[in-house]
Amino acid sequence: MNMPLQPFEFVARYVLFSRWVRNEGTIRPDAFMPADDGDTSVQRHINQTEDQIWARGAAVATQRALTLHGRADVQVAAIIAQELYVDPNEPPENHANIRGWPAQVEKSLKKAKAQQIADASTWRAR
Amino acid sequence: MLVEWTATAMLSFGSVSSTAGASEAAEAVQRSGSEVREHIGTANISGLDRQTLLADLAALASETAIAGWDGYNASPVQRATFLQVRSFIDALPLHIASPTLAADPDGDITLEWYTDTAHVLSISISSRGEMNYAARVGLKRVWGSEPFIDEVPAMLIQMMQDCNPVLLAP
Repeated sequence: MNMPLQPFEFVARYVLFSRWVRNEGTIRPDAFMPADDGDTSVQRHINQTEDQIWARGAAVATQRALTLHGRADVQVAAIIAQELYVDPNEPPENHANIRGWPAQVEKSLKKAKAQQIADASTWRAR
Repeated sequence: MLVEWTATAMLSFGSVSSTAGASEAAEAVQRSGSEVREHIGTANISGLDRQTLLADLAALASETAIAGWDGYNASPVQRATFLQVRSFIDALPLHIASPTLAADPDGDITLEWYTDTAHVLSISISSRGEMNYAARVGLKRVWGSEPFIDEVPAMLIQMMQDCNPVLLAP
């Protein structure tokens, strides 16, 4: 459906790389950094149950033969506050991308933004 | 090593004082020993553990060797990046706390010094030796880029200490 995201919505960043979670259960900024294609892939919570959100993460993990360690939930408003935006990008259902990152030559600014998004996120272990 | 010895000596001193009687001086020393023990519970007292860090770097290499290691579109971490990080670790002074290692989806290796979300420094190192960093020290946020050419800039070393201080650093 690719409905535009609202600031009050939450999105989840599935964590399949255990080093992105600190021992105390907080998220490193690395988890929210974009890949070379300039996007950070996330899953919208809207219209989903808790079980459906986890099921989607588990499907990604199975597809990639990796372990789903958990997810970092963050409100879209925290992403907008960093002058980034979240674009709906289906399929799969409820998939979206964090976009608008600075150019690669300004990687340190990307890190600063990712650090603030990570600080605003909540870790949920699988 | 000196730092570890000093911490051990202070702990021993505290426990000796616990049997020393009820004088005010002895009680003060005992209190001091307890405070040191409490602080040691949360502080880094050993400085840079290079061998453990290099072993962890080798483990990171195997975890990030294949594209998509993060479950998304991550680029594999290149051998040149590991060599840069190894040189960077070799250039760190021993009184710095060991960072924790991870990687960015673009294939850079990240080193993080962390006490809490108000005291955190993250440095990404690329295959070309670029250091991109972002830190929060108290209310101050700092970010920037530096080339790594054999030496770690003093400004970054200061931030490492600010973000994850080693107890009784020289």
